[in-house]
Amino acid sequence: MERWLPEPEDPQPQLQTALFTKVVLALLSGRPADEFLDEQRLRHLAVMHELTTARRAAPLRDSMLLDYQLFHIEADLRWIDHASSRLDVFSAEIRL
Amino acid sequence: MSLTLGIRMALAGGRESLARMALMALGLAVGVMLLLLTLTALPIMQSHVDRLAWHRTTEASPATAPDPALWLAVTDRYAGHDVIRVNVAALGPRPPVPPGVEKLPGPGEVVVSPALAELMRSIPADQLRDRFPGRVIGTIGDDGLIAPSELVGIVGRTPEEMRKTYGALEIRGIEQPGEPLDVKALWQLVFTLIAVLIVGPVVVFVSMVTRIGGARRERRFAAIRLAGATRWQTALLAATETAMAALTATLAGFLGYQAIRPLVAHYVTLGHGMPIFVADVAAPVGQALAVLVAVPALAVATTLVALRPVQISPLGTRHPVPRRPPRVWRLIPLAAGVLGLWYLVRLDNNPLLSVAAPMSILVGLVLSGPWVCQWASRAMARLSRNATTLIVARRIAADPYSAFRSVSGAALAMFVATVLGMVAAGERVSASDVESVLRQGVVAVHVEGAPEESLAPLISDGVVVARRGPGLRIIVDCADLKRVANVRCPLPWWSYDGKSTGDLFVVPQRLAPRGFAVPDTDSSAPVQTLFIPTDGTQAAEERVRTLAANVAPGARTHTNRDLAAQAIQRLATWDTALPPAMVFVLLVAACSLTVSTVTGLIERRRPFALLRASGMRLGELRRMVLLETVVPLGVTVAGGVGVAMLIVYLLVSPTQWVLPSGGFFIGLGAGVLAALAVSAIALPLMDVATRHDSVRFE
Amino acid sequence: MNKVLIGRRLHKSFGQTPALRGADLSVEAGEVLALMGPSGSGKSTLLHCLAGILSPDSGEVVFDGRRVDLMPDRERSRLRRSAFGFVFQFGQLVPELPILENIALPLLLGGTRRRTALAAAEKWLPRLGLESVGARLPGEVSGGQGQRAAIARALIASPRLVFADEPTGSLDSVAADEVMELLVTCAKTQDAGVVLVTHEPRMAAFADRTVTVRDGRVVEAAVLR
Repeated sequence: MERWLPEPEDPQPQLQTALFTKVVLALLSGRPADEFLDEQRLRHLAVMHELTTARRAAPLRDSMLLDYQLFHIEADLRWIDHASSRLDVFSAEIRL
Repeated sequence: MSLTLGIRMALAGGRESLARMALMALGLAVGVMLLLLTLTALPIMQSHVDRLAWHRTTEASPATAPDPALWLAVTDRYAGHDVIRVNVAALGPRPPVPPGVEKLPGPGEVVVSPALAELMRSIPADQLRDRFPGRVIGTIGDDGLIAPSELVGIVGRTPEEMRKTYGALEIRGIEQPGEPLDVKALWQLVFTLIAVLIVGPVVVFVSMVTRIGGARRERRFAAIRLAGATRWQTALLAATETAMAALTATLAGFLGYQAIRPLVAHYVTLGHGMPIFVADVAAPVGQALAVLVAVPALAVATTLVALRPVQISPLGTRHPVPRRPPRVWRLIPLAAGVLGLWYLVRLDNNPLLSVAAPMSILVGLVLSGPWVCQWASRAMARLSRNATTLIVARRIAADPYSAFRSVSGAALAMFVATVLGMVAAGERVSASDVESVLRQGVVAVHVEGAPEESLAPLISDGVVVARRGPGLRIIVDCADLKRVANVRCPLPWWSYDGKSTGDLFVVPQRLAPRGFAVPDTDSSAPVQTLFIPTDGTQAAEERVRTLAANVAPGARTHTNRDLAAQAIQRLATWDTALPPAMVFVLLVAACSLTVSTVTGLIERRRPFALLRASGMRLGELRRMVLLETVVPLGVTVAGGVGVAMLIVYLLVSPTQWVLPSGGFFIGLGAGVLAALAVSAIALPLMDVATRHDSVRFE
Repeated sequence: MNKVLIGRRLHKSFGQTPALRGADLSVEAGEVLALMGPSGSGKSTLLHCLAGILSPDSGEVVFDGRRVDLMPDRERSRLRRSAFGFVFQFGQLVPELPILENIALPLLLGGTRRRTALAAAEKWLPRLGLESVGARLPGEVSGGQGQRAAIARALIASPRLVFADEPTGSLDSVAADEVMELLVTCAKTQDAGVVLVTHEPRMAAFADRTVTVRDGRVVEAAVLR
């Protein structure tokens, strides 16, 4: 748990559940959720960078698929930013 | 590089930029024209004096020819016009000759001015022509005339005739144009005129026009700054636009000045009531060049100063620093100027002060404007009862500087107009004070000591003879005098009536007679004046004058028509000068208000559209826009008019305080209404301009 | 690694509002650096301070060993002409000049002769797909074309650094991708670094390094690729 919780996940289309769970568990167990979210964001950005670099060199057919992944990762990032900014309220509500 | 870049940017700036340049060019052209015309004032006066020179010929005039001549010059009158008559007799083959004349007329010969020649043709001889007996051998050229329509005639006589004529002088030369006028006093006047009436409004106008078109121009300058232009380069680019407008304006103004010179010559009558020569209306070349250089330079400098806050940041004005609200110290220059003027008039005529005071007043007006607007807005906020006036009050309070700026042109113009109108009113009153004491139809012939035998043809029944006694006393029977003049016995009556007696007695030094005496049997005293009654028609009077011209060539004559005519002439000068001045004033006021209203509307389209979209009715919006202009306008115009009245009352002694004529108030009111009408121009456009769909949002 | 631009302990407030509270940042030579952060975090202000457009209230900005924050306006203008390039979201093209002259503007302002400057600008048109719009005014071209012109202008004087503040903010995704691609590629070709402010991760993904700005400070964690 100690190891699993702070570790960022690789972004995948079905990531939402895992991410959400991690955040809630982190909050419930009193661990620093904001640091976790920051790390997760950086991981997402790193993956986006790799995908972008690949996409720039790839032909159109492949790049469309890469774009699809990129857009989804970006959506995740938006949720991460959103959650970051609401963290204190969220945690208060969960603890209750 | 910067020059061509700036030129292309100015020309490519779209409608807004071109409109701005056109407006600036218009205002500057008018300013240049007026400046050049003002500069003609001194040359006009100087040439007037120069042209008059030969009229002042006396026996003491320095010699201009080897042989002398006999000379008697008299200012006669016909039907209210001056007719100058000179009797001459050459005493040698090469006598002095007045300018404009080829040779001195000999006995039986006459040289007349073109206007006199024409007049003589149309009138019975015994009323005018006979005063110049002889054959007309030529006309007097322009050099010898004060004005194109001057009535001058030179009559040739024999030396014997002249020697017998009382008052004839032996001259050796014609009086030449002497040193220039005492220019110090005149320069003060001209300079003050220039500064107060012209430079001030023009500078205000230019700075206002420069500031309009804010948003797009700021973006342009921000972009240039971002690309790495220094402040200096940015300023130069900004100034190029102004410079181009200013150069075309200078050219246009110069051409306009040339075109309008004949008009000015027609209107300007220097007290003699006649339009002057067009050639005399000429600004000195050096000064004219100075104006043509200074005006564009001034315009460019104004632009640079006006745009200084903008050219600083490459980010545009994303974080505008709010200016401090105007403080009371702004009123100081105005108060100082008024005090200086008071000091000037009452106590001392310091030349420096006479320039500094009006300038201080002008600057003070411009400085005080925002302060006045701010206080007006505070009063308005306190008194407001609905949302519209409250919004307007807050908007003005937030930026009183631009609120005043948009009406400053109009307020200054009204100030100038009030000063002009009050001075004209003063002139009118003092002019109408004058009233002749001669009775209708009486011709007063001032023979001033001519020998009595020669006057026999003039003396008939009913003629009252007044003699000159020792000590400048007039010997005349009061009852007799009462028959020909409105006097009261005992004489002198004017010491308790305060009337003018200019036409009653003309003693050598033009002083009032020192006293009166009753005639005694000793009638050897020289005759001073003959009062000859006629039936009152002008023809009869002129016949008497013609007779007097031949009997006593050196005598001046007066009737009761003359004084009134002179007064009317003086009045006419002001009455003709006032309408053009008022027109200029209204033009400036209307122009500046148009500029500020329209651009204000354009710049605030989006906030207005938003206001409308959020529920404000169109009528309320219109009222808001109107109030925003009307309140500062009303307050500053009232202030300007008040200060102007204060100044004029200071300049004039309390006994002559007078309100301007109704015409002036009508003119002023018309100006204010015109200004309001201009600000109302924007109102119908507002509906279209601020409709939600017509404003593009980014 | 060679640090070409360093900002230390930068503070900047606008009136009562603090925008930077001790931000530290350094830019390596030739790298593409992205500044990300929520709105109001001060990232644009940081960019402006680093570029010498704004003067910080305290702290220092060092470019090539010289203190940018202490330079007089004339020097900074010269930097903007020659060593720095700018691609902002709006309003950096002069509306009254055609695209070609806009691109040539830094050279023209630096005193280059008109013919030389325009010839240099001509060369940039095909590189950015602007051959057909060289004579048009900025108001007559699309947003993407305008931003590409801005890129050309930013790079024409061979700068060491290009500062981009939300360059794709008003563009759709396709145009945005084109613009970012061109920006990064052309900059790399000329060995120019890019400091990019953006709130879009897809745009930040073009960068070599991303840094987060929050509450006026640079958050320490940076991802090095």
